[in-house]
Amino acid sequence: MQDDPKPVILKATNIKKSFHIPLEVKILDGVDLAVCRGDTVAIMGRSGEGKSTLLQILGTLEKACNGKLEIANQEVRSFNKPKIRNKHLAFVFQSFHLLEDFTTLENILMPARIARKSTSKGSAAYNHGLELLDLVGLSDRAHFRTKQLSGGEKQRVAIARALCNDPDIILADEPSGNLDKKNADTIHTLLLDFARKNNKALIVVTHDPSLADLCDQQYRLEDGKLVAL
Amino acid sequence: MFELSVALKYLLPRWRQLSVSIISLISVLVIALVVWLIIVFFSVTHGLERVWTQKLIALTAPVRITPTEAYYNSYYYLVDGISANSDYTLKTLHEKFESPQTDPYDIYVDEEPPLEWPEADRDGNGELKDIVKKTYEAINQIQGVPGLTAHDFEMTMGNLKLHLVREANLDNELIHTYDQQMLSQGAYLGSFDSENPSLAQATLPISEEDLNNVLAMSQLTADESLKPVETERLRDRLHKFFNSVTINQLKTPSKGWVLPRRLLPKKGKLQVLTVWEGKQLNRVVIPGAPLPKSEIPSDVPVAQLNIATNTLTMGDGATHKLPKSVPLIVQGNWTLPVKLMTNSIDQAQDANQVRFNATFNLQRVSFEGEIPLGKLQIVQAKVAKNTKSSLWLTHEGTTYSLPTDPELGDGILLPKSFRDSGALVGDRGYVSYYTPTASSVQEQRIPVYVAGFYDPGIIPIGGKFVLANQEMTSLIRASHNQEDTQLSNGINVRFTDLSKAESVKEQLEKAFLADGIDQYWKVETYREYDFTKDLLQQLSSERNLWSLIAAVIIIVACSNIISMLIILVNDKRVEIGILRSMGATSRSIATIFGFCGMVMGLMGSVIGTLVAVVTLRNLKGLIDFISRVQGYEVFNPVFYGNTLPNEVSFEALAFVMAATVLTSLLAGIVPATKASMMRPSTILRSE
Repeated sequence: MQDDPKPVILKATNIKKSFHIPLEVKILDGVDLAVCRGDTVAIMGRSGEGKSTLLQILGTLEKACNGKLEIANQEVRSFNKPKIRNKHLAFVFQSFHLLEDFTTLENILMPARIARKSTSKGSAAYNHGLELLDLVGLSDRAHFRTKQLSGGEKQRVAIARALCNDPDIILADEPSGNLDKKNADTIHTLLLDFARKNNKALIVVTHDPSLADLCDQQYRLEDGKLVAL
Repeated sequence: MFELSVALKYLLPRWRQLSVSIISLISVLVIALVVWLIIVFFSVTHGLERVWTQKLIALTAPVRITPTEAYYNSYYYLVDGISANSDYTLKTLHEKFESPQTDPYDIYVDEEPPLEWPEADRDGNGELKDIVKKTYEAINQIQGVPGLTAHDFEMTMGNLKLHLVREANLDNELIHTYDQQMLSQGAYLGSFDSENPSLAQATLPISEEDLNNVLAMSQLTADESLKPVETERLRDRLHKFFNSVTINQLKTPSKGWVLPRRLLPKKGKLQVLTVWEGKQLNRVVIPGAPLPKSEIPSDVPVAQLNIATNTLTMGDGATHKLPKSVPLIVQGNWTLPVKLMTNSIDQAQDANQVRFNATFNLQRVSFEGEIPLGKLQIVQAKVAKNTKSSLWLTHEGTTYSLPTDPELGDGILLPKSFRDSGALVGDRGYVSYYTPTASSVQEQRIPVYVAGFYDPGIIPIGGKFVLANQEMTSLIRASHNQEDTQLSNGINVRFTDLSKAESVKEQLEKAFLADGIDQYWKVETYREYDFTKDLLQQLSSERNLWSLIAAVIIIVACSNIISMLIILVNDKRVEIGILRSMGATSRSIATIFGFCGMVMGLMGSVIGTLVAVVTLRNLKGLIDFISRVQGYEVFNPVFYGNTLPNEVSFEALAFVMAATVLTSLLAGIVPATKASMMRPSTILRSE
């Protein structure tokens, strides 16, 4: 990986994490990972092995007990976490996690609003939101409430939302875990195509070998360490 | 601002979050209720305080300047007492102001001053300082107070005796008999200030009863003999009266009024009551409207009067010719629209002989013709405004004038308590005071008559405070011992904006100091007067107390918001996690929930304010309704006046708005902090 000419966008060094419940349980025990722009990375592993925890640490949502995390050449510290999340990262969750009080388009534009960009009709962000809706094939659902959408549609909206602020890294946690095969395939294609076409890094935590196979790199989390497959 | 837009979305009621919606609604309603209550209460009390303050200082002014002991002991004041130029008489402030000479003492004419004589206070040029004139100059130089005027006032004491003469026998038109009563009252006599703007609100309008009294009194000579005045004089007085008064309606006396037969139309039928003495018809009573059966007395037979045939048809069908000698009596208290026949005044020997053209209906039968005033009473009349009259208090624009009458003396303005004791405009009497003579103390009398009434407000001596022309107060003051002059003479500085009182006081004190006359004057604002201090302090401390209570109520009302927001935060924990994952800072999350609290507070305030405005607009109707329901007045007019103030107090509005929004914002702090401390990883993993 060191020989890779593509720039490293995420670099995790010696990430350790343990929980005290109440005895200490080591989840991650020195994880090293470097992801470059355009890389698609799948992380697999048994349930409870710590895949999601690792993804959350990489996504700055969870704090590691030890180790160093750099995203877009910035070391992650507590003061710059929200900005890094807003600018460089995007999440796609298994259970979609859309904001139910808002419409489809409003959900998609939320990261832009958090970044204090104008999202009024006709603004650049608004038009970008419409393009993303078009990309995920939901142009006709722009003003639907999210609860009126099917599971597959919800995840497509979640992906569109993830792409709103043009992030460098997309972190997906079992993105098709709640979907049927057909919808799952659509989601996989969407994610991978987008990442490759736009030179974005994609890190997917999944149980699904078919999704993992589609990725350039596969890792398995075993005994708190990442093992390349 | 994304925090606000998210907060507003969260506050939209949704079925899915029924409990949150219901609690939010209740919280908003409770706040609205509290805001409504506070605004209405404070607006009314604030208005009352304003009205009371205005009433308190109606007779004085927002700022009052009174001479100090130093003034009365000064050369400037005392020198008049030893100067021939001043007739060896001390001068009032008014006289000092009018006097062309500052120092009347003439070394060649006047005796040498006594040994213990005060030093003259002279300016740089060696001239005696004209303290009063300098004071007026200082007043004229006050800046930033529009409409400021200054007038000196005098107060003295005297004994007012009013001779209340009322016509006793209203049945007989030809004989005048009178009931007499004396109303005696030790009174404070204040100098009447024709420019006092409070007079416009304080003076009570001339009532119809007053008019009847003035008319009745015009027939009597000025002395107490109750003799009729000579005809020429009477006509003169009647002209004066009718020049100022247009009578529109007269009322029949309560015992009925004899209808002149010439007024009977050619035809028509009337239901009448026949009063018999044995078999002799004594009189016929005509009700204004046909009486229902239940109201007809059983011992008075009803008949129908056919005017054309002059016959009475009784209930049993019997008919009687109506003899000319039997009087036709129109029922009591029946109103007759009339118009004065001006030429009748010059023919009248008696006020009762003044004639009117009357056009009226009795039981839909029209009557028309001339009627003499007789015992009819004025019930509706128009008193000409801006027409100077010697009968009562008049005004031209904002300048009021107390009348004087060459025969009757000086017109005086009485506090309304006299009216409650039975006095009316037109009543005559005198003010007596005592002057020391060489051998004894002699009673002096100044004839006066009642020229009007005013509402003295709520000052303690208000009920005894009679306003009279300054000549009269000066005269009485001059006869009094000089020791008690101190509180009874001074300068009222008037202006409309009471909030400027302190600034006026400061400017005056500064100017007096610069002129070196500060030791001669005591400058007080209306909050410092002896008779206002306690009351205004009480009102102010009550307001503070109520503000405190209001603040507590607002806090209790807003604490509802805390529980609602805690539920909302729990409800929205996933969304908090999602927003955090998208880069929202913990401060943003706290702001969202802070806004939720603030928006609710604001909504409650706005609703409460709107309802309060509507309530205040319809306050009278509301109070009337409550009074009807509970059976007695909610607000006693003695204390609160006839109408409660109903202007929204902006002070109250600002207080409530600020307190509510601030408290609800504070109420949002706990839940907002809780929300901001939630760790997104924990939230999202648990889902």
